[in-house]
Amino acid sequence: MLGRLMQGERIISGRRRDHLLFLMDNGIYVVTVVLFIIFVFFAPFFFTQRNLVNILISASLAGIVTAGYTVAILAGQIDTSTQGVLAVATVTTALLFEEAGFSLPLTVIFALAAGIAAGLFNGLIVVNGKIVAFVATLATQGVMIAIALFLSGGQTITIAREGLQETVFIRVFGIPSSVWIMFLCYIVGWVMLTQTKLGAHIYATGADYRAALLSGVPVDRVIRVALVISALTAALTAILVTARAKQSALFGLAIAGSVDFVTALTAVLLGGFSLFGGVGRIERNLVAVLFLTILGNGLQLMDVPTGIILVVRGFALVFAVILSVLRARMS
Amino acid sequence: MPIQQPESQLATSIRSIQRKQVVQFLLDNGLFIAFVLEVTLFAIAVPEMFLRSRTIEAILRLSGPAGIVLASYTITLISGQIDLSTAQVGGMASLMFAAVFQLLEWPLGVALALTVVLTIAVGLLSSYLIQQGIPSFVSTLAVGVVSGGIGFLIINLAKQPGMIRLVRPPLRDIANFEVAGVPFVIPLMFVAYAIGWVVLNQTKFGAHIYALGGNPAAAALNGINAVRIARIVLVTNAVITGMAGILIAGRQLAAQPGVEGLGQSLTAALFAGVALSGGSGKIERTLIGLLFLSTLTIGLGILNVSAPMRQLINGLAFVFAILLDSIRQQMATR
Amino acid sequence: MASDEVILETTEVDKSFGAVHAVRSVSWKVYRGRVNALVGDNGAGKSTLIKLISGALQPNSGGFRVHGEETRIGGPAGAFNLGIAAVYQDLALVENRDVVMNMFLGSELTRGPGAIFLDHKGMLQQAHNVLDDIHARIPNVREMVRNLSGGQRQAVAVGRALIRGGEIIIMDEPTAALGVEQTQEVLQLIDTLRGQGKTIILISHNIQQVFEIADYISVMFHGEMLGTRSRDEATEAEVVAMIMGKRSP
Ligand SMILES: Nc1ncnc2c1ncn2[C@@H]1O[C@H](COP(=O)(O)OP(=O)(O)OP(=O)(O)O)[C@@H](O)[C@H]1O
Ligand SMILES: [Mg+2]
Repeated sequence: MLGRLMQGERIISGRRRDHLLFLMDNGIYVVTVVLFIIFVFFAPFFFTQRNLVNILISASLAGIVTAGYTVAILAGQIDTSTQGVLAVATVTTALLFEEAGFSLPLTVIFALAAGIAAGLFNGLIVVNGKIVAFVATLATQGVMIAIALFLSGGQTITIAREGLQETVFIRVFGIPSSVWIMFLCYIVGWVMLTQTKLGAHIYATGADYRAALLSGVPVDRVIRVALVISALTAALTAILVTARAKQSALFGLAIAGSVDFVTALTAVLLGGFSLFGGVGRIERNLVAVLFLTILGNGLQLMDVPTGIILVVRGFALVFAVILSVLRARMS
Repeated sequence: MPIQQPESQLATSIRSIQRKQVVQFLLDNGLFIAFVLEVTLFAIAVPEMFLRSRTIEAILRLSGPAGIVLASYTITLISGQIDLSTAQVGGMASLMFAAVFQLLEWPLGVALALTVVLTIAVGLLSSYLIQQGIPSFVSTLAVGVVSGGIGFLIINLAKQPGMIRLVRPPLRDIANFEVAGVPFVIPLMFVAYAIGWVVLNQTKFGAHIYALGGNPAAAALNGINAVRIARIVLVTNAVITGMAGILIAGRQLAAQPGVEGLGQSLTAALFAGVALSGGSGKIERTLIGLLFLSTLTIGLGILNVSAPMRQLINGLAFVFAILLDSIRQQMATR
Repeated sequence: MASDEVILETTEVDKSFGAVHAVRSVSWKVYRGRVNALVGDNGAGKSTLIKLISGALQPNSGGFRVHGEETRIGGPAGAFNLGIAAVYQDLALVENRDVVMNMFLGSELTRGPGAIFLDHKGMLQQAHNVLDDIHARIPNVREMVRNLSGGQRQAVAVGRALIRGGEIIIMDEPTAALGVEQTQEVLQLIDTLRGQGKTIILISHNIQQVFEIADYISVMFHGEMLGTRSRDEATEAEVVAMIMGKRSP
């Protein structure tokens, strides 16, 4: 509010603006490639097949979360409950598969259902409670994490039973299944956003809530759907993470490139999507996710202290947010 | 459809006005009622454990540092800024202090000064981002991530396992210092509130804070310097949060990233009727909000409620608090 | 009326927002102790012009003369110092604060050393005086602005302008959102102000109202100032034609 007031005074225009825009639109590609090359030379074991596959898997997991997150942002909803949804879904997966002895498909269905339930809960508080998503999901996240702790008794649940990792985390044509799933998510997302009425409604709601409401867009339903999609992709990620680790995951200490909403938010902003209702490009999100993953992975391999990785991650978000404001100022 | 009689229409509208008055009354005074109810319930459930001076002291001790933060947090909120970096800034400050004071064994004054400088820097970063047009909750969220990272970095550099022990006198004695049997953080909290009350209600600066939070555009048109106020408020809040972090670490004899017990400021303030959107609220009421939450924590502890359950209750309290705020907003604009 | 004194003058003031040329080289005279009406179609640039005069916006080029002296209007505070006070279209009131604090918004009275502490009593007293002077009917000055009627809000905003030492009071569509009775109240208020020697700049879309209250009528069209007529020599038809963009000889 405060800032927006001051922003009007400083509109950037002319040639400088075109240069800046070009840099902002394409800079991420260059920076990612440069970073990659630097790590090839300076980070031990970075350029090994094993590590590259690792990066690919981490990036795909973060990418799946980011896909759903993008939909929420487009609808104007900043969803901060990702970590809560991840926690609930990972515990659900581990409990049902390991302790309740559910079959794999049933486990997956219930874990996804837990995600949908979490999304509906968010929608309930945002829409019926008339509370901005950012704050509402901050609150629901606390509840979700508590529920996860409650269900798991605060313990990590190790999965000894065979069949989860072996079925879920496989290679198809030599590429890990999570990468395929990520691409599938983006294709479905792209079709939904660009080819369907729902997609048009999501854009409209995010761009101008009042105008959308007045022109008959069912804004409340759109917001609910967007929040459910965001939670659903988080739940999907949680299943994959749980299967890969063979245990319920802890989402406490988040490191660069790991799956949580800070990464998703950073990636979405770097992708050019705006907190203020702008429009970005989904492929840039993917590159941004890759960038953040490479950054975290490379720094870790260089034995940089966790603290610095976390600081870098924080500044990446700061930088992404500043970029997004600059973009808003220029258009 | 039968046509409504004028009398019955009148009766309906009177009833709706009455209902509105009841809701308004509950919104204004519900916190007091809830607090009394809470104390009564605990007193009935566990009379011999709850109704004794040790419990009351525990509640006040728990409230002390959190209350010092809440006083400045409330002012921040009224000025229209939501600060989400509290827990991380408190943790970072306590780690910085512990590293310099405990590990390097530098003098107390130097350690404090360095910590203040660091927290000022963090506050300046938040206010700089806000000045760039970034909403405060996003700015402070990012700054919180950075601060958490700095806290971890200090632990890494000091080669400590997840926390830094903090037992060197005189800090230990200061944090646990008592005046006539009362831990000194408690009077300190009341002093913080007294200062906060005077600033908000009796100074020009306070008037500007309310104006800025209530209607930033109007404030700007009347020559109020929004940037300056936001900067002062955020920097002060960061510094006070850091000091409270040190006090908490001193009491627990260890500094950790992310301070527990500072995260409930937002819930307490919203319970007390401070608007999430800024511009309204009475600082003295947030003290009751805090006591309510502290009593809940201690009371549930006495009842042996499990940790996840307690966390769930706290989480639901936050959800309830934001719903209350939303209802208040809707009542105000109707 | 030819003897009227010019209190404020803009000289070739120009303002653009990106590609929108909102105010085009406007030279305009405002007469002391008079009601100077500014009319024009939506988007003609009226609000922008008065924001330039009240310091809320800075011109791209051009200057101002106040009391015959060349000056810069640095910002809202600078305008107040020159005796220019604006009552904005949205009134710039803080809903959650009471009448007194709104009237003193940004110019609070203080006491004690360092001008830190508020002088609540002094502000209360002065608010009462000012509101009495303009015959405002506000029973309780400790009432939140949120609960006031449209006419009362206008009075609070005008009261603020007077407290600011406003000699030139700018009012942007003060009656736009008001009912018949409250509109009458505001016109009364304007008349009272003029009676006290204040200069008023009034933006309005209501031509009849303008002819009822104004002494001078100036017309803007597409950012340009087409001309100023004294009320007695102008006809409604002529003013309406100018609003439509017809330049009179
Ligand atoms: N802050 C701004 N940024 C960009 N364009 C602006 C801004 N303020 C005004 N404009 C544009 O300048 C032009 C003049 O606007 P202005 O508000 O001065 O008109 P007006 O005469 O007051 O109209 P109305 O009678 O509708 O209030 C319009 O085209 C408007 O869109
Ligand atoms: Mg206008």
